[in-house]
Amino acid sequence: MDSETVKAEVIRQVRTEYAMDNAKQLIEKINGHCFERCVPKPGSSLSSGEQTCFTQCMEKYMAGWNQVSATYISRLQREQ
Amino acid sequence: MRRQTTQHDTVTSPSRQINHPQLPAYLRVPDLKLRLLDHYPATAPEAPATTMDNFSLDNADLDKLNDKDKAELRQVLQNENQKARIQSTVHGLADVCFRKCVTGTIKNGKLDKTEEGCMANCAERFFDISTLTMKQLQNLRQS
Repeated sequence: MDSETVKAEVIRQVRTEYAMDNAKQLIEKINGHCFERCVPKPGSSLSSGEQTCFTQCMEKYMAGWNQVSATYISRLQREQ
Repeated sequence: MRRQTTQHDTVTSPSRQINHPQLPAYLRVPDLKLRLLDHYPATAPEAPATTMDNFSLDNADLDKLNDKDKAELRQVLQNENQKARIQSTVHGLADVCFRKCVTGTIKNGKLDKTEEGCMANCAERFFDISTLTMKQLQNLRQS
């Protein structure tokens, strides 16, 4: 492998790791929040109401994530 | 409001293994702890771990890098690292702010106007608090 290939491979692996890590963090948070909100009393199976709530909660969490992200990053850029 | 303890609170540990042992010195990112006093807040309410356990390039490969590529790689890694730190902060923020702002029953997948405003305010005020912390710490150091 030449230098160029090694470099590209390192970059690819690093980006993959970070992306995986990011996804993992998001999943953990969504599971934590939405399980608590949507399944207050776990029954013998997940009801359709609980599933709907979970889907909506997940969408809401991601919308919230994006809102917080946009606000935080624009503030970072303003103050630097 | 007291934070509820949920399962995900214990999953993330503060250990960050960004500098994998196999990475040669020139590829290592600076110690994250040294950057706590940077201008912008690098610490989230909850800073999750970043692991690179699966990193599998051996040193023989890395030795093939020429100086130009080394320099470029160092830059790319620094940028990625910074991006990851900001993202970690946002994860922590989203966590705290969701708990504070989305308190009603969840009826649809969109944020309503109040929730949206609350999330934005929450991020702004967190930024204020982090800046304030830095200022207060600096005052302490100078006095």
